[in-house]
Amino acid sequence: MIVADDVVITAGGRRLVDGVSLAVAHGEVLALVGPNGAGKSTLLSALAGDRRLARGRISLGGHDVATLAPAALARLRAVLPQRAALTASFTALEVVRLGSERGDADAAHRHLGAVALGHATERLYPTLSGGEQQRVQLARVLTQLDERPGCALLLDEPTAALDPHHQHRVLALARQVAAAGHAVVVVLHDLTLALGHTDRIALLAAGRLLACEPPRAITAARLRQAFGVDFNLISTRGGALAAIARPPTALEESLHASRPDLA
Amino acid sequence: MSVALAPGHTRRPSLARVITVLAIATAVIAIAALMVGAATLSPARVLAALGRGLGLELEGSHRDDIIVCTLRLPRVVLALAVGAALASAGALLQGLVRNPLADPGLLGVTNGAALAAVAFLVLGDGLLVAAPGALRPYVLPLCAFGGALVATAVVVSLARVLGRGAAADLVLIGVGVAALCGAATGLLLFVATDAQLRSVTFWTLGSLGGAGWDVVVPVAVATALAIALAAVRASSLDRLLLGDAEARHLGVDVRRLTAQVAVVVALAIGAAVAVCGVIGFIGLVVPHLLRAWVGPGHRALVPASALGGAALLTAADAVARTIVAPAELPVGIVTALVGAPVLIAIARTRSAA
Repeated sequence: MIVADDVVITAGGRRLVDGVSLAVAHGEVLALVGPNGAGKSTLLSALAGDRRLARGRISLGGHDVATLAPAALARLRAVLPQRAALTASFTALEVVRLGSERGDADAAHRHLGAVALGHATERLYPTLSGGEQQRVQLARVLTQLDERPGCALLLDEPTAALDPHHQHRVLALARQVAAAGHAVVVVLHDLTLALGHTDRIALLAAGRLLACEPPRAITAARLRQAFGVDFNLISTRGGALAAIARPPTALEESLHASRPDLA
Repeated sequence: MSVALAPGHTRRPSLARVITVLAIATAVIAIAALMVGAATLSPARVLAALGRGLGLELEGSHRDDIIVCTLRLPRVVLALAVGAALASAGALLQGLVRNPLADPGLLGVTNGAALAAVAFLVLGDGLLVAAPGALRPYVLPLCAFGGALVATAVVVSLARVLGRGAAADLVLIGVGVAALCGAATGLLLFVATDAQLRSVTFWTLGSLGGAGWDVVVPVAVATALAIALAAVRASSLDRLLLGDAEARHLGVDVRRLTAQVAVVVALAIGAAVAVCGVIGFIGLVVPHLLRAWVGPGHRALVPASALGGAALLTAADAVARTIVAPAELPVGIVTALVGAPVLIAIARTRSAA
């Protein structure tokens, strides 16, 4: 269980996260969604225990993250960074084994298979494509969760470098992780992915939590409030399936002027 | 070298294989170094003399015993120990700052040692007179060692106070402290006499001429510490290569590990510089070359670098003391002559890759 209670994070006198409270249960996948600078990544790093809070409290499995040593925190949560800085010539398998305390090779093989890189275990990490590197890092993170159920998995834009096939695959993996008894929080830019793959969507704007609702409760009005643009929501009886942002009016007019075929 | 599979694939040699190959190479080079000098001895005579030194009943002359065991062995052992210290410290430091081209000088260790040594050579006559007779030969190395430790202590504590104690803070502050030490050294050289300048220059170029069993011990102990740290904290050091945040997420106490590495590196480099002056390129080139073979993992890289550094410095010193015999070239010149082209070759392959 991840609990954030009235969290405020400031930097340079600005409130990056402003009084956010939310709870994520084991078995649940929560998306953090919002415009650039909304505080999504800041909130995620605070959930990971990386940030000093100006106010409020964050707990993982009942433990206040501010009081835990790195080793204790590592047993409660795993984090996938937005971009990994690794330039050392480890093989994919060696990177994934770093996720396990015992350097377990079997688990590392299994997780590389889960991210469709079972064929690339001996490839050198720097020679992999950006999307492949991201999947290797994900396999490393999954390895960290292996040995202990009931943890938190925090993913910062795991789909950013991926093609559509792997985007769905990675979010399906996040779902499996939740089903195995973990609580999952994922920062996403793609609203359609958030609608299709998560249990609840936390909508952030300017550091504040505007809504935290299941995908079917998300409305175009809410999205407009958060992003400042209009959305077309494509829905079925089950709820919204896709959200497509419409260009702002002024931009739309200039677009139509230059492309009459679109008008 | 790594077995060629498909491009970008690699298979690592086992740790046992790496250590065996390098240990044999190092032993061969050490024996060759014992053979060469004013009198050239055959390998059999060297081995027999060594055996007699160990108390075995072997045929041979007393003259061989003196040449091998008394004259050459302390110097070869010192070269082995200093080479191992420089290269294992270099491997640790390159991992810590995640830069395969980082040099041990980066933390201000070398410049701190140099400043203290130069201060002693230029201003230290009084200190020498005040020191008890038995300690006098050790005043210069002790000054250099103290300078290395003080510089590192300043760098590490400033990095913790001003920054977050991370590797990037260490490098920035290390470069600053090194520059300050360099400036202070320059000032001292400005006021130095010609004779003092000459001894400073020789110290700066590095020499293993001061070999003796008494100075081997601290260097060997510092090297053993570096290898032990790498063995005990290998997986944490490997995780640090993922990035500070990633290492922390995996449970590594980054601040503590950074400080531990800095202290061990300072001890190893400090001891080496104190005994032999500045010997460049060993700490830079050896780990860099071995990484291509054994991989970046610290469990193998640090002990492999220790052996590689030991072999390379022993070979360089054998060249230094024979090539212009009966005179002796400063060994730092030989390591730079070998190291610089290797470095340029590495830069070339890196940019081609």
